[in-house]
Amino acid sequence: MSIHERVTALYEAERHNIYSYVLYFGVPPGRAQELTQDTFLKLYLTMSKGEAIENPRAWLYKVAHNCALRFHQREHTFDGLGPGVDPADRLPDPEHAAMEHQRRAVLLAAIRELSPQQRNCLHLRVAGLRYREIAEVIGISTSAVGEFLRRATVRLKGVLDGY
Amino acid sequence: MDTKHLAGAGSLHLSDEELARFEDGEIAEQDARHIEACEQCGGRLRDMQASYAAYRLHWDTLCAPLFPPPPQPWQPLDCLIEGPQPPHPLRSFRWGPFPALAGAVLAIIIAALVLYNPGQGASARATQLLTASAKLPSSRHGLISVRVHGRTLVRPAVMASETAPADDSDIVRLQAAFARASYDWREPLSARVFQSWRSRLPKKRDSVTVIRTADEKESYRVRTETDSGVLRTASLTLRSPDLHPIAGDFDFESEGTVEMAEAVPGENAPERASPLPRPSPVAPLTETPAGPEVTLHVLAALNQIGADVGEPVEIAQDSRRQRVVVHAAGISRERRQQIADVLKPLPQVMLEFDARESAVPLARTTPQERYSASIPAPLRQQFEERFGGAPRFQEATDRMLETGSSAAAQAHALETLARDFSPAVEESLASPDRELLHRLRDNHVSELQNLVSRIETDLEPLLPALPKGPPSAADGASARSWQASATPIVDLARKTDDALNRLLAGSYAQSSADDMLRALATQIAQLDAAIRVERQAGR
Repeated sequence: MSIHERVTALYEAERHNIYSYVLYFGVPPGRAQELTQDTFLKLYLTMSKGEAIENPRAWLYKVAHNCALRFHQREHTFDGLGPGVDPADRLPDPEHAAMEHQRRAVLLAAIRELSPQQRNCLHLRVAGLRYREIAEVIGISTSAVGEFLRRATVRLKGVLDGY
Repeated sequence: MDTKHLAGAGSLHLSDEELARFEDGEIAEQDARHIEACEQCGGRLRDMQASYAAYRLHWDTLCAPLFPPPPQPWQPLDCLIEGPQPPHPLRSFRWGPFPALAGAVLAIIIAALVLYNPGQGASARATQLLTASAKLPSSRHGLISVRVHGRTLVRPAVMASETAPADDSDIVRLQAAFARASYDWREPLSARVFQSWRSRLPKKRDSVTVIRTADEKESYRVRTETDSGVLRTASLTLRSPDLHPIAGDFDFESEGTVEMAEAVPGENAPERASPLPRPSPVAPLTETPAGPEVTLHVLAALNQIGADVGEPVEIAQDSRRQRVVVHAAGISRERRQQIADVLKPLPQVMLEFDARESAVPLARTTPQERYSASIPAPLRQQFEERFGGAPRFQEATDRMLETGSSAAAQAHALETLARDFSPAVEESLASPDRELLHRLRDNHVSELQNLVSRIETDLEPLLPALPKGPPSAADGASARSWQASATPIVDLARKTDDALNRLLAGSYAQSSADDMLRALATQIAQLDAAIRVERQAGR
């Protein structure tokens, strides 16, 4: 399979995930889409230069992560969980699912209390990245990933145990 | 809870990191058995998984629905690679003294419209080219050469029967393979037949490329890949400007690649009076192999215009090893012309460009790098002070990232040269070519040294003093071939680029900055020393 074909297949399969990941950093949709496309273009150009990329998917997250941070640094602040509204308030019919609503609201609060690094590690883990890939994306050691995930797990487990 | 953290290294239980590695399938069998047997570790693993599931639920049900869809349709990857497309004027063709046939005129117009319509996908372009070609009358008296399993055979271009008896075992097998693929064996070099096979595929991937030979002849190659059936890839080459099919490649799952080409009577293939389906072995159309010197001359020509470093230009031999194919994608029209011009004098070279082209220089499509917001603020402030202010730090950062990337590209070019021209291959070259090879190598090494010097200069405010002693050959570098010595240089150049990216555009804790700077200083010093040893060796 040629480089072009490999990147095309990845582009088709992963662009929505990368787009969501960039949005997660509070980047507006238009810029998020541009950054996502730039990320895949960078992958193509890098591979075309002959550089070996062991795990292109993790590489994409890493570049998207850096792009989102650079956007934030240059343009404005962000809230890692979205545009500032409480997602729990957007549930379609909270009366019919009061307990679920409450559980999710508490879960949301717990997630919001996680540090950005803990949330990011958790997000990437749930996105299917391996331990060492998360470390590579964020630029920290695997032991730090372990520590962030451990704290996030303990925090969320406390919330889940209450329901 | 990270048990090993609490209980120390002697704990019988696994750490959270090891539990996560278990999920990734990266843990030793012994530890995996422990997790299955140990209630405590199994419970902690389930807690981790429950937390992930809760977060996934939170994300899928609350966050993701709030995110707006992309405001614009996704651009195809080709458009991203090629950048914005300005309107292209149609090419003006020089008409010969004789009036062209109406079908050929139509084919030219369709080819021009198809190939210069930037909004069109590869499948649509392939369909239009094949449809236009299929309207041409087929030559019922021509011959085609068939190359299979190392033999070249000749058969009529059009056969009366698909099941004509054949003595040759290769032909019998081919007939069967084409039949299994539902591809009409009677007229394989036909756009109509190709289109018929292609249109029945449940899933396919198409591409269209422009091929230009050294004598300026152009043709279009339509290539279709599929995951279904026994015929996995087929391509048909259509001559420009009349779209007459002149060659085809058929990659069968079981038979390997079958190559076909129009056989020109009176040149290499014998003309057959009778269109019998029985093939006869003949000499291949061209038997002169394209040796390593052809690749070397291509590299030297590209080096003249800097196209051998950091550009998406791939060089390979064709499957018959009779030509060196230079393939380029996503480069501007001007750059295409420059490449074509420098390669024009070289024999046995074929150019392949993507069908669509860019008017934007490649370098401008890459967004400029900026240092990361994740550099800890106090550290960034220190960096800025050492550089004389934020704007100067920003400029130096951009320059260093760019230079690091150029050094990695230069190292890759050196690696390619070392790989393609092993000591044995080098030995087989004529003396002038060996000198040419050494000049190319020296150019790469010299340019790499310039880039490293620029990085050192830019990094001076940050790095501890770099050791600049005389280069040491104690590790035996000078005793090795230059090809073997290239490997550590390439490795160090890439590591330096990675370290620069991490330092200036990565995310890390302030406490690790000193270690990163020390490591970077060491890498640069090692790279500098390796290059100087290589240059002093004077190979």
